[in-house]
Amino acid sequence: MRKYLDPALIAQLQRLELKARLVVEGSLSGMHKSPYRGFSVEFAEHKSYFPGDDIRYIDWKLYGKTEKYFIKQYEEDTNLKGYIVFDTSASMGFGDKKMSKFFYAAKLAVALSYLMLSQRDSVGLLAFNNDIVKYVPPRNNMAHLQNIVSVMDNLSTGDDTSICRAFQYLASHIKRRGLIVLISDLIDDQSKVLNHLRYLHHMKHELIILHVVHPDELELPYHGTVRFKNMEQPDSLMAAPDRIRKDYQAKIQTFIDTYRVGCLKEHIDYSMVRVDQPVEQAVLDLIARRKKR
Amino acid sequence: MFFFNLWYLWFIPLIAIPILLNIWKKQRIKEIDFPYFSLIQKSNVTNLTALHIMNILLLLLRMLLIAGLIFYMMRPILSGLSAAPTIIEHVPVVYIYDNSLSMSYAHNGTVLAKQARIQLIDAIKALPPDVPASLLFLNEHGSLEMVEAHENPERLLQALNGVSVQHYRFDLTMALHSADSFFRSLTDIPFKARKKIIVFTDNQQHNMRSADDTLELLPSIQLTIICPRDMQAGGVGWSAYTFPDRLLKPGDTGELSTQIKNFSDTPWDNLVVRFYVDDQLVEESSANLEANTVIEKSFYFEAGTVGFHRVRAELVASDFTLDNILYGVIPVYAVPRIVIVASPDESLFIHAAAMTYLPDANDGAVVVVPSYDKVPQLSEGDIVICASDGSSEMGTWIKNAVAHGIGVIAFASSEEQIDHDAVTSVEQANMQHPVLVPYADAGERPFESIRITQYQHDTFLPALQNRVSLLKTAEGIPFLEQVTLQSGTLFVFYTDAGEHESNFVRTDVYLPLIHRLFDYIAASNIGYPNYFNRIIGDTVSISDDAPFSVQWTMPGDIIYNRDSVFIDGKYEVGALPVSHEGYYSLKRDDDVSMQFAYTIPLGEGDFTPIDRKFLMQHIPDVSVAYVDMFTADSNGSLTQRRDIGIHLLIGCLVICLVELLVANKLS
Repeated sequence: MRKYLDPALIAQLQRLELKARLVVEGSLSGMHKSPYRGFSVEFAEHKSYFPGDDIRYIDWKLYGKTEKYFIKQYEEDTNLKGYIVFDTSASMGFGDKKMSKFFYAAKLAVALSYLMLSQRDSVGLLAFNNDIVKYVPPRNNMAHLQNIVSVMDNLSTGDDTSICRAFQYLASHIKRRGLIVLISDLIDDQSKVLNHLRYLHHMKHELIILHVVHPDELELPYHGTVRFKNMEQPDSLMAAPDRIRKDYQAKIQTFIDTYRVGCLKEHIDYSMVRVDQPVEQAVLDLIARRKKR
Repeated sequence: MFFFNLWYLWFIPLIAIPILLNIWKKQRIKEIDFPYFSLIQKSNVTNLTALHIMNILLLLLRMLLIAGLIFYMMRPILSGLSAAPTIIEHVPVVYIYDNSLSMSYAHNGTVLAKQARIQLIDAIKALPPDVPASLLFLNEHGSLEMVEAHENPERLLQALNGVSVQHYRFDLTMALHSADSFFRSLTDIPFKARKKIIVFTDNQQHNMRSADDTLELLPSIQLTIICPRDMQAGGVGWSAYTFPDRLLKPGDTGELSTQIKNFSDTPWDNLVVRFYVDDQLVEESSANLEANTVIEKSFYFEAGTVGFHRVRAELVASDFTLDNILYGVIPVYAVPRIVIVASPDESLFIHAAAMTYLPDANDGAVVVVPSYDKVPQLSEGDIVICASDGSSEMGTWIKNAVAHGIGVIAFASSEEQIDHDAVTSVEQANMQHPVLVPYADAGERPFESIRITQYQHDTFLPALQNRVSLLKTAEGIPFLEQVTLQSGTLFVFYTDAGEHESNFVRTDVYLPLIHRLFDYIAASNIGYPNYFNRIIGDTVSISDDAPFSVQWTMPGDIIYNRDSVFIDGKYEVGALPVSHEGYYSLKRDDDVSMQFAYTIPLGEGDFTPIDRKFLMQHIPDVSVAYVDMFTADSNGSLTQRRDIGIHLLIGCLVICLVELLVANKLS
């Protein structure tokens, strides 16, 4: 487990908690408010009594004041169900062995899993490329972290990316609202991805997009004549990076901005994380940004 | 256009260097697996094409640069290709017109001399009057003649009108010398100023045979050789045949050989050589001759009856455009009788020489007698060899015999030896003498193996004045002399015929030399002229002590009669007409009949070319260019060629700059 989660990172994460910004549904009492009214401690609102309602929840005090029957409704604190949607497409293999996007994303996923489990939230994992590679249903005990890590260990990069397919799968398997964390380089049809994000958001899921990029992808630091090979398709082309750098940098910035703006419009939490920044820093930034909200 | 340094063409493969570098560079291209490939693709759509175009442009520029530099090194000379008037060069010029016989042959239907004349007339007409110019050609006597323009080029045209093809060899070496002298005589023209020699020729190396050493021409001379393009590399031809240099007697084996040369770049298949003797086909031989090769064809025949025999070699090949028949006459001589007058110890080696000369001789053909009173009755044609003591009796007898037309060889040793321990050797030889001509190619001192005890030289028969030294010792004392008295010939060796005073009889040169003396005496005695195989241009003249008349029969049975005239104490018939090659016969009124064979000038059928290598050896300081006689622009272009080297160099610099710009843009 130290591969993904070293003690320093654990120490930092222990002081943090990942609060769902929206109200999420949960099956255990936790730190998150549940939209389900019931036996909880915090009063939510009154509603008019209708025949058939449980008379145990009639607010008699209010009846004394108004002579009308109102039923008391409460907000329920519930535990979070988080889903780490993890991209294992071939493009995630970019980078050197010590710090490939895949490895970085895995560390990020484990760190977030640990964080959620440590605050008694459930966390699950969905690994995908152009299909579903592995699905680990959410659990909330700390031993579940080991499951996630062992699944991570067995994952490898390959094939092209279909984020939409992962979202479709997730949408069909999640019955309650939850927190979905997408960790990917987002190399997919942007409009389709944004549409699916929009859909999930309408389904009341909380969404966090962690866009993993390698510095070389941003800077294109190559020289001379280079044959670029598509990592997900059998294509290649010759180019002089020095001559196309500016154009490329503008295009990748547009690519990132498209996601950023698209997510902003839908109030989806989007973060671009560079693999050359420490994982804990990425997590801290994420938490800090969410606290502001 | 032509090139001064065509051999730089060998550097043409260097043009491939940029291509190889390009291939090598492509193999070294980095490959990167990249996630945002589509973004690269979108960025590169236009640049990729531009990159390809720029790379190809760079490649082409580099190839062009190398090609341009090679082209520049080849020194191209551009001839005026347009009809537009060009700048007339004010450069002194000598036109050399090779009007030897071989120029009368047709090349692809056009006679070379005629084509050269057309070119020459055009060139002279375009000549500015104030340009020093001259014309060199062979006159009717076979000598080189130079006509100078003296500010009137019309003089050259007038001279050219009187020039015809001559039956003599054109000595190009001498012509170049004359041209060089002409330039040196132009005192108002600096030595370093450019000068031109333009040679109209069929480019036979034979014309420069006399150039044994380097010709020292002015380095400022630019030599242009104008000849048919395929003759620049040499044409197809065959050289003169050779006859045996030994006297043929009935029963001897004669040899006739030809040398066939193909200096062209294409093989010559199915050529047939036929040999005729007395107009009878005796042998036919076929062969395939590869490009740039030489083969020899020989055949041997048995000499028939005494007299003249016609021989002929014919080359049968469809594309052989030169004269394909070589004529010759071989005389067969009667077997001479050899009489040896010598003591027994001296007669041994002389007898051996006589027996090897007449191996199949009958008894009585070689007679050995010890003294002069035992000598049998001699007749015309006999050869006497005397090896006695050099006494007065010997001298008197020999003088008498020679005066009666007997050929004699005498071994006249000196009685007074200076020092028996001091030995000298034969160091000097008169190679011009017919007897010694075959030794001309035998090295510098073919007779140095002869060692002689030094002696006090006493001229044998000193009263006889008509004498020629053939061999001399290191001290300049005669060792072999020829003495002529009336119609008789005497050869004197100043040594003995034994081994007492020299090792002559034991040396390798003894037998061949004695045999050549036998041949010479036998041929002289019989009265045949020794020039029956002649070259067109040579004249025949017959002389006698008594008046006579001749009937001269030319090919085609054209008969020409002439009486002798008295000149310088002799009756002589000379300058008999010879129009072209073939057999000619001369019949005197006393029934003496002789045959002559006239051939084209020796070497005129030898198309070994004057190539650059040959010229480099003989005139290394002079730049040489070749121009095709049939495609050269006759409109004065010979005087209006432009060296475009500087333009090429500027072009190369421009290419270099563009290349740098493009390379900079790509980097």
